[in-house]
Amino acid sequence: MSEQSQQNASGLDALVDRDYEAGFVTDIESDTIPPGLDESVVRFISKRKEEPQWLTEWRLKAFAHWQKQKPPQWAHVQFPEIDYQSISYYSSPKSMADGPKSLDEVDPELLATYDKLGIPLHEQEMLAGVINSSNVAVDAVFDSVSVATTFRDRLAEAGVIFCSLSEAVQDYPELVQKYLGSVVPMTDNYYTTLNSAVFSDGSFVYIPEGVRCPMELSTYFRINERNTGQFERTLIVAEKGSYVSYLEGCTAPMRDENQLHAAVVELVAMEDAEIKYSTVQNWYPGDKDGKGGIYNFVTKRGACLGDRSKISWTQVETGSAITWKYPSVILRGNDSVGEFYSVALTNNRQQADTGTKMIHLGQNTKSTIISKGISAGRSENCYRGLVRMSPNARGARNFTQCDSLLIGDECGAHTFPYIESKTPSATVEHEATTSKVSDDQLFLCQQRGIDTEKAVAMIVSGFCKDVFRELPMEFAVEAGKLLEVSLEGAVG
Amino acid sequence: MADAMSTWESLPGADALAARLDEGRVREAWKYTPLRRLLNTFSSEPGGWELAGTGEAQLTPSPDQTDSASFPLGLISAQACSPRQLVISTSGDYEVRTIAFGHQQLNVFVEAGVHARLIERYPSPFQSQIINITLEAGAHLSHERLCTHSNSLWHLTDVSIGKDAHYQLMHYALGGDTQRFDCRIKLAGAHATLLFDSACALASGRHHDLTLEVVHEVPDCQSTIRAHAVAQAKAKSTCIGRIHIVPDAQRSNANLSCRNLLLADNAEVNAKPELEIYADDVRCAHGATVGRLDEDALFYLRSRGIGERQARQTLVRAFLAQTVKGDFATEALAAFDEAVHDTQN
Amino acid sequence: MSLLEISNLHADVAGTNILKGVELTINAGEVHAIMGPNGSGKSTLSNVVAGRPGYTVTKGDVRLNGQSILDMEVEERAQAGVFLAFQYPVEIPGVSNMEFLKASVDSLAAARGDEPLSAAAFMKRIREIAGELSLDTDFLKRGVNEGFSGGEKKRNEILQLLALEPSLALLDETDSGLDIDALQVVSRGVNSFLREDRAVLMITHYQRLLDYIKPDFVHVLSGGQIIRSGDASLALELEAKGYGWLTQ
Repeated sequence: MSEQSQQNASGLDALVDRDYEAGFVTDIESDTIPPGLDESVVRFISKRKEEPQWLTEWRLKAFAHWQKQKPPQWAHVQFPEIDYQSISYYSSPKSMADGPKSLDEVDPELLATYDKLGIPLHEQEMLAGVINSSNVAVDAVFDSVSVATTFRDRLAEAGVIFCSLSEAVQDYPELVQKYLGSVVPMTDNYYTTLNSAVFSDGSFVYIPEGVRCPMELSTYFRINERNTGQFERTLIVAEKGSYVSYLEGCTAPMRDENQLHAAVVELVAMEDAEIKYSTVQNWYPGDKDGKGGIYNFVTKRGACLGDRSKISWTQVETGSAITWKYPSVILRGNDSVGEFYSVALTNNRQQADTGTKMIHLGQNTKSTIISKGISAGRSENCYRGLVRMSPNARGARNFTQCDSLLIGDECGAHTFPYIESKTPSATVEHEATTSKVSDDQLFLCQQRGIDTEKAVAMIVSGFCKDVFRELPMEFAVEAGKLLEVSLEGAVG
Repeated sequence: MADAMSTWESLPGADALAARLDEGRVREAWKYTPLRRLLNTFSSEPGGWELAGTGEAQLTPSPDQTDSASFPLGLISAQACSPRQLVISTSGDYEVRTIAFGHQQLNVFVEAGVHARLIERYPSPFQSQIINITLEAGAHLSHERLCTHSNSLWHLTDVSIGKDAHYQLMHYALGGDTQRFDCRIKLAGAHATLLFDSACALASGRHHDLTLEVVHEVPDCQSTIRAHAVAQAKAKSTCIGRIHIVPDAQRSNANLSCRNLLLADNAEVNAKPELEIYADDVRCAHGATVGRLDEDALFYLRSRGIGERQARQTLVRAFLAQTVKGDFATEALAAFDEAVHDTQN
Repeated sequence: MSLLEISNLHADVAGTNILKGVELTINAGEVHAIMGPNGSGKSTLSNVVAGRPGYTVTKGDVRLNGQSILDMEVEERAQAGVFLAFQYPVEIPGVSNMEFLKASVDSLAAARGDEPLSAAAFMKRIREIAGELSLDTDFLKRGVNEGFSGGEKKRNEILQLLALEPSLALLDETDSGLDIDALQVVSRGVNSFLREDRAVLMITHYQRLLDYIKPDFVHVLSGGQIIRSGDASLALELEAKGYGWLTQ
């Protein structure tokens, strides 16, 4: 982290000729199966992970259904049809084949990769304060597999389970079987079905009743291999009265071809439980002309099953060539709360179609949506959201604020909210505005001695403030810097 | 009412329409109104118009085949009738009246600098109606309608507003079996302005869908849209309003406000205000609210001795009156009172 | 050498010629007031000196400490010591006053080649100034001018003036919209800014500001030129007689 943060600290000088910082390729031997997808690939993945039969069957069922499904067409994004036979569905660093028992056994090259990304996996280093906070446990997913989960012992003392999903399948099969696909049905959409068939790894979190997770949990995802897709799955279960804050970060190397990332995240919150899920998504966005970059087609959904439960999504989306993502909350428990705070920044040729769904089923349920879209370059940035008040959602409330900021006149900023109410005692309020960085604001900053680039970064981060303050401290700083670098070259 | 001789499938244009029914875009545009159910009520009757009012003009056969193809129902509606034309070259009031049940199309041209009023009256119900309006430079048109018929119908208002021209639409309706009103309004000349007010009160079981697209095609135009609706039990009110700012339409100023009240259980309101923006120096905003009568206001009125029923009626009326004006104001408000009168809870 | 020298300045706004040969010299330690009828070019003059985009100089020169500043960027002029108190202060939602001031103070320090002020020293300094201007510290956490009353916005301009310590302060109708108490607070701020090596140029419509900030020179700008200069008594004369007798 230290080297990188110094680089960041030197501020705008570093911006001038900046490339995608996480764009390096790690040269390690990996086990990658040839491109292509058929039943045998699904079986291979399941067998490789030594999965129980129910899971193999679950995958096969998903695969069979996927072949009959069509990709969604309604999003405001354009891309050539994906050739699913040209993707490799499993890649794992070779040294992992036998499975590391501890961090000491992890390939040093891999550890170095995560160090470069600013995610040290050595617990002692983290304790020594190399990372800002020693209070973050990390699960690192490299291509298809989880390579390390830190602080497991300390978490176990509190009764918290934090491990890779593959391990959870082995160690806690009953929990996985009970909740896998319970929030996002296997065949929810084209990409979830695909994920259900070929998902590789991901994180599993279980917080027992009454436990307040003693530290932030975090997963860093990285795609390394060429021609691989990443299909991770995350499952978080918070029992009655528990609390967890979970952070997710994503990076990928710079490659000329597009790579697919189709993840599924499921959250379950029981009575009085609270899950706070934060994402800083910085997948490779492609170059200035839109060559390369990640297709980020992700389904994230949380279920507030218990009364007074709460699920809060916070996302800062600056990467990916295309983002298609709607972290949602199903508010089933009475008095449950759903929140969605989002900053989505697109530059150059990036396209984002992102938003949320708040499905109010229980009484007096409450949801808040704050979305800040920033479009620059020749990008397209679209908020799409649904607020639904079902007939039983008596006394439910939603407040939505969608603001768009345009930088330059070649980009697009769009707002497509769907509001559906079937109960008179529910209240929905939606507001949307569009603005640009005004000449007057720039002039004021400049008149006070602040240069243009710094002024724009300041104005944009002010525009995003309502969202940034929802992020855990470590991420808020990172998010601010990401905005700054992502805006590079956006103002002439 | 004329006999429903044939189903829509035998109408000219039906094949082209049938091919589009499953298109993603069409399904999305008809998300809240069942297109097939509406189609199944269509017969082949051509409708008819007559012209009244103080303005000097004639209804004549229209030489133009206007483009209604971007609306799927336009594919059959326009073929099922012989379009009429109204050229307004002198200022005054123009009243078009329906005289027969069926499909009808009217192409209106308001010549440069002319200030006129266009009033739509419906002595006879209709099935489908297309009104194309072209406002030339500097023309002003105030367009008013009150639809109280409850049959299933489709109505399209397709407007192009020229340079410095001003168009005002007042749309008041009570809904019906399956009623859909499409409006496409293009601000096509610099400094064109649009003012659109809609109010709608749905009695039990009624359906009303107002789908609006406002396109700022050139810089320096202004549009203001306000749509208020209330729905009784089992009524379904939909308002979709898109503001579309094309590239280079700088200094556009657009605002859409969509407010809805559900007056009873089982009422349904869908709102979809949309912004699609490709220029940066613009002021665009939309707001939508869905809820019930303000309990505080209700309490305030009752604390002053006004009975609950009357207090509710007063508040509903006040809510709707915010967007009601023009010739139909009194008639519309009375009709609205009637519509929401029944099962107030 | 004078602090500010404006010679034969002509400037256009949106293609219209507004300034038509302004001559004005301001020395360090002086207070100047510019008065004049509406539309005479008073605000244009201050905006041109600050370098506001959209104001085009067609002829003449503006020199600060002997150096022409016309080719300098807006922020370079600020770093060189020019401060404009805006007639209509701009809102920047979400960016707190404190954050904004810190960015500004740091930029000016960097331009001088100074170390940035420590966060603690900075906060202390700003709190002191806020205290002098009767602004409570909560004010510093709010977004720049976001939802401020007219009086608060003007006091915020003076807060920035005192924090940034420029050599030349251009006050564009800083007194407009202030009640008498706020006017006194603002005037006290400006007077505390004044030093041997600094100067103030006030643009105002009203004599009453000059009761609190004593000008050494009063100029009348009309039709894009300075048509009369005098001492403080000129302002009193204008108050009594208006501008008509000068422009006929």
